[in-house]
Amino acid sequence: MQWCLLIMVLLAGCTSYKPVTYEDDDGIKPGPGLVSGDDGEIVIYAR
Amino acid sequence: MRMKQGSLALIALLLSAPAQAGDDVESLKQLVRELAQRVNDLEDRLAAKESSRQIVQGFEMPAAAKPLPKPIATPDRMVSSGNDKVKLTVSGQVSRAVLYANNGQRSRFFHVDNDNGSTRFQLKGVAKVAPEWEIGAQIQAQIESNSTVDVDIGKDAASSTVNFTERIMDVFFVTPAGKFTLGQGPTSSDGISEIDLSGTNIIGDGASLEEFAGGITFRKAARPDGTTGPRIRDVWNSLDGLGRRDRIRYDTPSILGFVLGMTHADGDSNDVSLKFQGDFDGHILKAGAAWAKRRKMYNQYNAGVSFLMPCGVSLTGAAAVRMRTALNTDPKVQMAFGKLGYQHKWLECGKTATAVDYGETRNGDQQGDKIRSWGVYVVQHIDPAATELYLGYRRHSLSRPGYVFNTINAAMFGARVKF
Repeated sequence: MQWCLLIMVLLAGCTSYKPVTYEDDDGIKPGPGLVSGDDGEIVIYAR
Repeated sequence: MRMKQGSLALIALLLSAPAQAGDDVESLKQLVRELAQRVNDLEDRLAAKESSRQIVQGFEMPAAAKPLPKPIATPDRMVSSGNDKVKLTVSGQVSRAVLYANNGQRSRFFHVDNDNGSTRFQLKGVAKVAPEWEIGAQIQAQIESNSTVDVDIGKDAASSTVNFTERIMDVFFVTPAGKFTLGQGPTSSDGISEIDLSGTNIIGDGASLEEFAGGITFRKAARPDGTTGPRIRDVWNSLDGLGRRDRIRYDTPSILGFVLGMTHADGDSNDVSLKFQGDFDGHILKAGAAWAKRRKMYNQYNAGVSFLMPCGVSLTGAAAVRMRTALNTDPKVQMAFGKLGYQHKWLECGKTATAVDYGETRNGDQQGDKIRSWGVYVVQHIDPAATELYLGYRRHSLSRPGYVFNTINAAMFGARVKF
């Protein structure tokens, strides 16, 4: 726990560091699709 | 005299002006009528084209087969603005390959579904109920015909054999305090052994090496009569957390790239994980560690890390240990894995990713078992078509006290297309 806090403090002080939201890999291939475009998902209903 | 003639001409001109104006209006009206007729003709032609494209009850209705209805305008609900409050989406991929395997005695080609990233599809519905609040549901199913973890030399699979298996069927609640998930799906410790930024996941998904040719059975070298040993997937274990289960799961919001997760799953299984992803001036680091417990079965720790440099070089590693609690005399199951990759955009269509890896699992099936495996891969990404073409080779060796098994060699090429 102390190590985690220390690492977080160091990261917060690191100017070139940009946090990225962790994405689980398990699932559909990330990124655009053949017909779904940049979203990678075909919207079949939206309002 | 001249003045009189001029006056008469002016009077004649004034008298004839209304008649001339009336003619002009008539010609303009005629012109408008002709234009309206042409517009109608064009609309009818457009309607004919549109209606010929409409799919009526599963087949194309030819334009001449039916009176042409008015074109159906695209309803607003089919269009997503990105700010929609309710949205239902579909996504998926098809992943097929040709696998060659040699078990030291026989060889065979298989036409397979690549379990590293199998054929699957997903339906996902999300409703934004308030700012930073979402409620959603997700169904993801896998349809594998001849999975790479099922096919084996000497076993014929019927071409109609298809494994339709659940992957995700859950509901989720995204709140400012984190994400709550309820149902079947990945536990928070799942996927940590598969953390891999090499770009070759479609043929070498982190430490899950058994997904390449896991169904192939080891043959005893001293017994050419076909006496068999375990399959690759029986002895290789990536110890990837609790996998996918029926569970309730909570993940904190991302704090400086860290996410803390915990799960309670069926069978009194629990896990806690800490995951991280960050960008250090173009150097991407992704890592995770987890503890998992299945009551009266085992305690397990696993960790994975992958580091991708701007030059394209990537380093990936994973390690895990499982202490069985059901029988105290059981040995620990141990797994270690390392991978070196390089990716570069040599072709305009997308990056080319290459990698070599090596892994070991001890005591995976029986005490004293030791499986060693190494592989080499190349994956060509074709971004405009959302496609990956890949080629790879794996070699598997198993040692077991008192037995000698032949080495299994396997090679695979194939493609994955995301639709």
